[in-house]
Amino acid sequence: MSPIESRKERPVLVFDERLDISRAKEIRDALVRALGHGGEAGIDISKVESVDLTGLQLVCSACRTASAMGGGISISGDVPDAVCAALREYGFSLRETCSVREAEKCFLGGLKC
Amino acid sequence: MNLDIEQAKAMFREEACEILAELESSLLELEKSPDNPELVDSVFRAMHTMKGTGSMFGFDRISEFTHQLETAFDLIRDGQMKVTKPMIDLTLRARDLLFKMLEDEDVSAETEGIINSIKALVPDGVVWSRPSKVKKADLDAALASREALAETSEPAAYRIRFQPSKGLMSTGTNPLFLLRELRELGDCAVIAHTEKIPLLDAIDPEACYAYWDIVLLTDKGLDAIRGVFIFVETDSKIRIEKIAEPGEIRGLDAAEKICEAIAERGDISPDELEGIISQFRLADEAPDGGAECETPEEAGIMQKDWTVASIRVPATRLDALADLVGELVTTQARLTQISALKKDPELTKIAEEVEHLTEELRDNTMSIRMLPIGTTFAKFRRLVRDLSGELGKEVRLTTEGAETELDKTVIEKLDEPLVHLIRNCIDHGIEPPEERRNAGKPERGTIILSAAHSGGDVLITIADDGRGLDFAAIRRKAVERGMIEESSELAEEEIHGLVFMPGFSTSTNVTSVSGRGVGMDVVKKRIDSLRGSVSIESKKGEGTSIILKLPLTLAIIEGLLVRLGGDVFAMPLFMVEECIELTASDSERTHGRNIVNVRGEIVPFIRLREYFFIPGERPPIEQVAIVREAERRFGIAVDTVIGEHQTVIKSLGKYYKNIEGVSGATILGDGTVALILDIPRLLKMVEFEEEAVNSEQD
Repeated sequence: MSPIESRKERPVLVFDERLDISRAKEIRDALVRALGHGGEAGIDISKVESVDLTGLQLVCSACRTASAMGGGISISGDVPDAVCAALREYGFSLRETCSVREAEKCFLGGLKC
Repeated sequence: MNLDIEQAKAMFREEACEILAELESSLLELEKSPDNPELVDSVFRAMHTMKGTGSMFGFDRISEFTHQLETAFDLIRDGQMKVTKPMIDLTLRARDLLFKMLEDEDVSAETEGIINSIKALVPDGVVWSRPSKVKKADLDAALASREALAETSEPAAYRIRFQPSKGLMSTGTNPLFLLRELRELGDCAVIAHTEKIPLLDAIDPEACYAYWDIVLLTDKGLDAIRGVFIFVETDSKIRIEKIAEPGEIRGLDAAEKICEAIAERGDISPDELEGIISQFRLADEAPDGGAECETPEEAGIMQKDWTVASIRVPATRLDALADLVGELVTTQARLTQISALKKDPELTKIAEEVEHLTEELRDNTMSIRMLPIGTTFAKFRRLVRDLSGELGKEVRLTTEGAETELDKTVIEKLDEPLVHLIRNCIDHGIEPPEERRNAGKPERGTIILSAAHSGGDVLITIADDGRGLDFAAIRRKAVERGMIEESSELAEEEIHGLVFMPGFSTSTNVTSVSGRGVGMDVVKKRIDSLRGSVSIESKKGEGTSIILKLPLTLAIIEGLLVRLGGDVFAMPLFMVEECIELTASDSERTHGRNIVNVRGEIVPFIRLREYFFIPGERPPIEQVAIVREAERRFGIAVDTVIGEHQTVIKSLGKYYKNIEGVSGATILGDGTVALILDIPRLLKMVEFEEEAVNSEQD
């Protein structure tokens, strides 16, 4: 089974338990596919149990890519504890603004934990 | 809080002694491993701390001298100069001069000589650079090192910029673990920078693009922070700077706000950073910043009232405390005795509580006085190095049991005897390299200095693999000096004993090290004064071991009280294994010989009544306390065994100290004096008894 589902009516990437380096290339490819239709996509991380810097960097990159395409990404579903802990520990929770687009809020820093 | 300047100077002297002790250790290690950068760093840091702290407390000459030495080690750190034996020799001499400078001795001619000699070692083309003044950053670094020494619990604030290499995660390193380690050091605010993360079509998903700004409040010091990054520092950019003094910034909240402000502004100037920090700095604890300082007063740096995990206490106060505890133990014994007589339940209960508290106080006080003997052992590495160099011999010193603890008074008094014994080993024991080669031994001799607990004593052994004692030469010299008759037949132990006689030496050469025969008798006297003993084991051609046996403590022991006639005696309880009855019929069975059968084992005993000429008849049933001394068991026959007693040891004084069989005295609860039995000496009496029994049988 593919770890990521795409739903046609609104592209939502549903991540399974692992959003980490073990699936780095797979996640990157899936994000590229999801943003391929106009740069708008939702991501569902509610099932994620393991997340590391690789996973967070890829989500950040996806947000930046979507923005560059004139679109954006949005969160779908709850933010699990594992992700909240990772955001705190990796120092994303203190970020308010985007490092590159200072007028925009940081996507990861803005996730509701 | 302003420190009295003399008090501050005294504190600096104490810390400087510790730094110089560590410096010597580092230099000796560096001599063996001249390419070890950590050891070079360690020496550099010691010089740097002495420079900064010395300047802070007005030791300007120390500051200037260590600044010059620091310059030399800076060149070594930069690879412009190598660590060589002459460099180590000069730095060790410099370290010795620093000790003298701490005592305000004027050694300016010698220090100038050393610096000129070091400069002469600088290779051609290398510039000997010298920054002009002590900067506040240097004082801050010195303060940071002092903080590490003082183990303060007030955290200082550090800003850390951690930029890992892109390939960090391909090495298996997870930056999360490093961030967690930092969090273990104290309140830690972390903010990630992500501007280097490329778009999806360019990203290497397994690369590390993020970097971090961190504000850490910790009392663990700079070294602990550096230690977190030790395995990644070569491939990552790490910048650590102290941004606030201990106690100026408190709480994770403040750390987070500072971190956010720093991250928001990106690369900021020191002034901007100071502007951010000052908003969070706690009131009226800020030192002046940014100034170049001449004196501690100008710097406005005041000693703070830090809470520390350990405190320094003058040794005299510790001695006074031990004396008071001794008096308390004696008074408590009286209380126990009186409560037993009064048979008042309330009084008995209180006496028991006082006894329990006194025991605990005694044990705690004794343990405060205990120090590991490794503090003494460490000094001898330098002695062995210098002496063996002076005598043209190669000697290695190894130590075992450095963690073995003894009373501090015992350790202090051991210094001189150990120095003499080690000098003797190197001078007389260890042969020159050629002689050793011809004897089929390794050219480098070995001295093993070891310490171990043995019951209530500590055994310290100084063993060498040198030429061993020449019994024939010792005997010849003793006859020559009229110490023994030519026809005397002496046991090996007795021949050994001759070397402890005043003026005895078989050495044909008097060196600056030894040979005058004034040492070994002094060693014996010093060990005797510590209620210890010294013995020798030696084999010609193979080596010699000198064994010192010393009590753990000079002050208080658990004793067993015994009665003989109207007198009470005490013996060390830890030596007593059991007590058995001795009846008149038991004595008849052994035909009057002083031996008892203990479960099939024949154990000789000494009848103290006879030994001490106690008047009166002995009771029909006596008690024999079976004691163990080394591997021997023997008995001490007494009238009755009274019971256990905390024995505060009092010296007999110079008129009575040579009485055989008695090592001291103690004061009982009723104020009477009980003599403390010297078990090892009494054993010798028993051995004479045994010999008499054996020769009868022959």
